[in-house]
Amino acid sequence: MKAFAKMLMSVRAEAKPDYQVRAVSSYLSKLSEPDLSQALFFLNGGRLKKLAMADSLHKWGLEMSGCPGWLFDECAALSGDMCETVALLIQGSGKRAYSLSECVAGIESWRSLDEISLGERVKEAWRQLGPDECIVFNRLLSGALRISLDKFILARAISQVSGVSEERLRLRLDEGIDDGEGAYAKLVSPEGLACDNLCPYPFLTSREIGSADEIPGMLSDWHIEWQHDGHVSQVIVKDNRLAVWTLEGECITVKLLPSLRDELIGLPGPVVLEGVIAEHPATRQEIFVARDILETEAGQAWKEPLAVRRRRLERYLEDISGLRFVRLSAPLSCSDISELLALREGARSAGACGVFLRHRDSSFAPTPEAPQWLTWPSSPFRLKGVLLYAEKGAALDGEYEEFTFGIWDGDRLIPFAKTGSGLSADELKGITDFIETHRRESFGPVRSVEPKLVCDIVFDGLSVSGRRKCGFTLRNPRIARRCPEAEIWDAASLGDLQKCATGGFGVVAVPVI
Amino acid sequence: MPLLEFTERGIFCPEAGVYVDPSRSVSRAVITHAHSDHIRPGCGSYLCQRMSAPLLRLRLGADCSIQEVDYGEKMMCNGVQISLHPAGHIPGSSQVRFQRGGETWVVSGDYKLEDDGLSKPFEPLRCQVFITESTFALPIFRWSSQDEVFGQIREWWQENQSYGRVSVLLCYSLGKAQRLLSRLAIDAPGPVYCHGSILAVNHVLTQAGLRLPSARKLTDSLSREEMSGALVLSPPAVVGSRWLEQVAPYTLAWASGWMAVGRMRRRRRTERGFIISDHADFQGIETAVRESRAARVLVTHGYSRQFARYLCEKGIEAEVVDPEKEAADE
Repeated sequence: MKAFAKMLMSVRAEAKPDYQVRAVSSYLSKLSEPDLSQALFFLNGGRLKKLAMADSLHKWGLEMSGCPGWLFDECAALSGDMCETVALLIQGSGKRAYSLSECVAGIESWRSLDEISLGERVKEAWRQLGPDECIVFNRLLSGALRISLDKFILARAISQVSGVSEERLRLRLDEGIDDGEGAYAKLVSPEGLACDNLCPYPFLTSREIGSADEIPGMLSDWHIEWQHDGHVSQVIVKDNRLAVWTLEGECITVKLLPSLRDELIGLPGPVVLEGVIAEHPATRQEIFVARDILETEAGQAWKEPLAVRRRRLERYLEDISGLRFVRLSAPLSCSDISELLALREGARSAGACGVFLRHRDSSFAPTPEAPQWLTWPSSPFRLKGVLLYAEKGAALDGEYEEFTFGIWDGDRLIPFAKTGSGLSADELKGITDFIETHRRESFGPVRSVEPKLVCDIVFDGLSVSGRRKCGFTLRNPRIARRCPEAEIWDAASLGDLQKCATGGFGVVAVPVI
Repeated sequence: MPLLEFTERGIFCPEAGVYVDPSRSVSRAVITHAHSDHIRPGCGSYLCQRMSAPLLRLRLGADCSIQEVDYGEKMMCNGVQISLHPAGHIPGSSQVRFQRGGETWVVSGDYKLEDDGLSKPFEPLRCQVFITESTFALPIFRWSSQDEVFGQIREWWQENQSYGRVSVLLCYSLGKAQRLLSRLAIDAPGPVYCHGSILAVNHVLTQAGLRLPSARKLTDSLSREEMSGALVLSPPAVVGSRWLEQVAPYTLAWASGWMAVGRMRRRRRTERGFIISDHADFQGIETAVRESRAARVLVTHGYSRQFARYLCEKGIEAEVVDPEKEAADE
């Protein structure tokens, strides 16, 4: 229990996932059964059913502490946590080292006891627990112990201890683990489990290019499609099981909207598709845009040239009727660079964020020396905004870190972008000087500023949001430059912003998907 | 006339014409110790223990008028005998004893009973009226022995070393910092650095004859190798500052009695805290009260309402002598 309490504290205290992984793995590495399986149960989000109410803890704690009732209540009011108050007031000896599984087994065996006998057992345990363990013990008793640990942290920690791959552990954890002894052994078993074949292939990453000159060879050697805005993912369907993995290594199967998930799980398997989980630009529904096929009924396909895989993918999707949330990423035809340039410029109005090029001969295997996947992002949206507010960072000697810019809604300025990035140190200093001489009011760390300073704001996309005054949340807004020549009348209007969202022509553009 | 009165300006002895730790500037002040919430600039003269004097000058400037006395040295002041006695809180901290005829009142100042190896240990004084602080006068505050806590700190430090990051321990510059330094810099697993404000206090105290291990100054020109495995002692004000970023990667912990309570830890936005205080815990205060054999106890500074009621229920005459403020600073 001591080690468990210490691990819980470390997990809470550490902000960075790496250190949380270390705290969990160093804890697990010192455990053996049945504590391993018990710890796994809690780390995986399990909780015990409530056995004792706060009122009971209060009553027993008061009896055992010998403290006057009013003083006990004063302490409880300061702490705000009955589990902690009791643990600090009862003065347990901490002499006997209970293991986690002993504590849980004890609690489970008390479920049939009446209130009085239960109180006796609990007090007996309290006498022997130190304060830190006692808090955890009380949380177990009151069903309040719940660890909210990211699954990837748990999988990584167990992977470090057991040597089983992280992906495999993620799948096995998602599949659900057994209760009780043996659960841990089964989780890290070297033998294959049914869900193991849902691991993804190594992802390919694309290289970002800034001009057409960077495209090697003939343009006709390249398969061209839109670069869709979303999570690059692999969809794996085998034996009526589904796993969806992102490029970042996250397993997002359970996070998908049910509409999309149901359609994916119904895909004829076995199959492994690669594509993008995106928002449909017109209907705003979550969809999967399929770009590639890596494994089919006939076996692995990833070594085949892209041209062959594309035909497979098209045939595979053609044979399925009634797909609504799974779409094929359509090929774009272009015969020369000027047409490609035009496509790239039109990408935003098509709801995409650039063009995506893959060599027709490429297999789905990394070739770092000669990248065969290229993305050419569209230019970002660009609007002029007027500085309205500036916010200081958390530090005492903090500088301004976040700036809010406004655009015209009729004859008044409304906020539309909040950002701190994009500025060089000199520009930041210039803006800071401006704020110091033109500030009006303070609201905590926020200063309102006379509307005089105009900047070019660029952003990569926007989505409708009812929580913003302007009606949109911008994606990755940044300050491109200060515009000393511009008057505040030159700033954009709400209409200009709305045009960005609708593809520029007043109607929601339906992309080629 | 009672020997001491409780006024807006602080504890006052009308016959001697002196205030103890006045909250406003007065003509004559007796200072229990040099924490800034106990000293007010602008008083006509200050009386304090010898070790406190240079600290007072550090805070108030060199030109203030300070009378230094030793522990136990007796001064007569218009028929009232005043003497200072060790309080064990920080170096130079004192209890103030007032005697008139057979009547004795003691103002505890801030105190702890455990010997920290730096401050002269708390001296129990018999008196009729004992005026005690009550910063941690609730039974949920119960300190473990300092050996145990220093063991925990050392363990944390070594764990951080194995992770390749610097350990930053937040503490008050005067008192706690020196206590931590004197224990942690001995057989240290790595180098110990201090913030400039702590080094300034260290300098004053060593000049006054206190023995302290030397600590390095944290400057911006330190290399990664020099910082490797280091412990940094720093006042809490550096949190979020650029000063702290220069030691990255680092991890923070507080050293304070408030760390005993989860809500207090979260108020300081930390989960990692070491429960070590220069104030007495609940039991310590009760022990001090009993050892004073005082017929009347006056409770101030902290959980005074609760502690006075507790004493009354135990049959000890007690009352609160200042408006309760939930002590937010130690």
